[in-house]
Amino acid sequence: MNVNPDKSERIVRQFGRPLFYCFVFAVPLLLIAAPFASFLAISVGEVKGSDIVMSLTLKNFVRIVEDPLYFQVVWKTISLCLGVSIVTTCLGYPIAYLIAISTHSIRYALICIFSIPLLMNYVIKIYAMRSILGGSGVLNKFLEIIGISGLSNLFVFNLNAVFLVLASILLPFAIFPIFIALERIPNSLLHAAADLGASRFFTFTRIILPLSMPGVAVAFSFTFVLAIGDFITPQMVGGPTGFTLGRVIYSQFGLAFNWPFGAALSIVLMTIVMVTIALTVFVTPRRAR
Amino acid sequence: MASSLVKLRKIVKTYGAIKVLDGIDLDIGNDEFVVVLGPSGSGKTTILRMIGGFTQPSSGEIEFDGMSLNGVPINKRPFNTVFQDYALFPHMTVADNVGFGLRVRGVASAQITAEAANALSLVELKGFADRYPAQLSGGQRQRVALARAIICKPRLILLDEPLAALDASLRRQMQTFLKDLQREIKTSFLFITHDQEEAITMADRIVIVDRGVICQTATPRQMYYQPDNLLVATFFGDNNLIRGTAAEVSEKWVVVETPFGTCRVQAPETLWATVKDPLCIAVRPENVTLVAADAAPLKGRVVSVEFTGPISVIKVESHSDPAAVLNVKCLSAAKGMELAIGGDVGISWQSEDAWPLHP
Repeated sequence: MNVNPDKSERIVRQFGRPLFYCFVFAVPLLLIAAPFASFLAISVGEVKGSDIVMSLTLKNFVRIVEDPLYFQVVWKTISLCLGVSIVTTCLGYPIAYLIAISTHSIRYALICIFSIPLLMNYVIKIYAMRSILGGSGVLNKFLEIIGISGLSNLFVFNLNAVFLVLASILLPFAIFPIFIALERIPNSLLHAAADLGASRFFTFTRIILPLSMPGVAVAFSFTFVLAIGDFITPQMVGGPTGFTLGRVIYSQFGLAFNWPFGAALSIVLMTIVMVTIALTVFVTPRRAR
Repeated sequence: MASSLVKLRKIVKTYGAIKVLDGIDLDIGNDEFVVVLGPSGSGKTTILRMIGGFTQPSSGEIEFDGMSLNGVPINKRPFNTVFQDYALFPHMTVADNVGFGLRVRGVASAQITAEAANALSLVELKGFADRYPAQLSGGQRQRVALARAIICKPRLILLDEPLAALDASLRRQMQTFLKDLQREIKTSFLFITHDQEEAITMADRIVIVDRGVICQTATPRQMYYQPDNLLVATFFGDNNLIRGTAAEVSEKWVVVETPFGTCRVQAPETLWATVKDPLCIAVRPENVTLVAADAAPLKGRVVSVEFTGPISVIKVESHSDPAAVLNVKCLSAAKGMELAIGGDVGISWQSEDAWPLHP
């Protein structure tokens, strides 16, 4: 084989690059943009009999805004997911901080403990939570023992249950972005702050917290996006009152066979997700990024 | 050095089985510029980190104004550090970085602004207050770090190889700047470096550390002309080390027999040598003069003459021992002697310019 390396390199450069770029851009185009476009197309259509008719109507979107039932679901879902994000981020921060300040084996043990849930099947986790929250579950038994009764329906098959299950399942997604942000803060900055006389608390509020804000933003948007798109959790623990946007979309596609309305709801969901991500990017202080 | 500000006594630091520092005694005086010089891995940074409080000594005592500093946390020590990587807070403006130490102390913000502006003008960074560290060059960041340290009016500023990341010309500029600043603000500086030239130009006193022990503590001049041992003698610039034996020992002088002939050198206060002991004499090449061969007590043969511009380097070897070679630096413009290669030449130096060492 006496292929001139310079020559083969030049060939790769001439033809390989464009080919490579085509591939790189074609995959997301095919897998993201195309389905997105088809959703947009379907969302302006309507159902006639058992057929989807492609027309250019906005009545699906109008229905979401005007029908109090759907409008309420959208708002309820947004506030539920904001709550989940706030709780997971606030709980995740101290855990991430604990991992970041611990050393050697303790650190690895903590990382392991908090990432194990990521390796488990989603449905199994929900069932596990159900057995904790259920009417005769661990939580209610415990409450009975300490003498609090009459709460047995508080944590099962309603929005509270959805909230608790989502929060516990999404916690690792809040911990790790914050941990990475904390990990990126050079030790010398903390030394410098102490050297200038700062107490631990002062160093935390003026140095560590602002510099870890990008991680907090990622954790917040991550958990929000994952929570708002979820339909399995509300389906399994939500009961009759735990209706969320994801569940409504699911029912439009799977049960009601109203694809255009489902697509319109999906577009709304996607818009909420994109606005959230854009907001977090916008809100995060630029110097800390 | 009238009274010492910081005292280190018998400091030992071990990491597991490795002894990083082994019995360090060091005094830092008021308004003194002390440079700790040593190769990498010598333990010099560990000394600084201990004074700053970032590491605790395994044993030994650190005192400040007569009080023990052992166990005093970093933020309670009256020292400030300029870190090697500057450690500026990236999310704060230059003014906020500089004012940080005052904000910690709860100083009113109007006063902080005024003092930060003052500190920035001291380091010649007026007008940079609203920039962020990422918008500054290396030299400018360096000076922000300096301003941040001096604003707290510490008794001692610790500088951990602060110029290592700068290029040569900027580094020379900063050396002069730091020295002038230190005189202006009248604060003790403890400066860590591995650069001999830097140490000699800046220091009031140099401390040479090697493998965890102090080799010598002295003024740059003493260090250069009267080194304690062979390591220090070869540490700064060129030096001639001539081996010989002591022929006569008095309180003030030692007469040494060398391959070039017999000469008299000054005796240090702590002279160990007695008659017939082997000795080494250190003479700087620029302190040797070449004279006519017939009258001089020391003689040799010219091996080479190298013209390097204003200064010529002449190598002279001994008649009796060709391994003994002496480097001589003289002004190229000096007249009166034509040096022929292979010709005999007389060697001379002032007896106080030669310094006896343990071989």
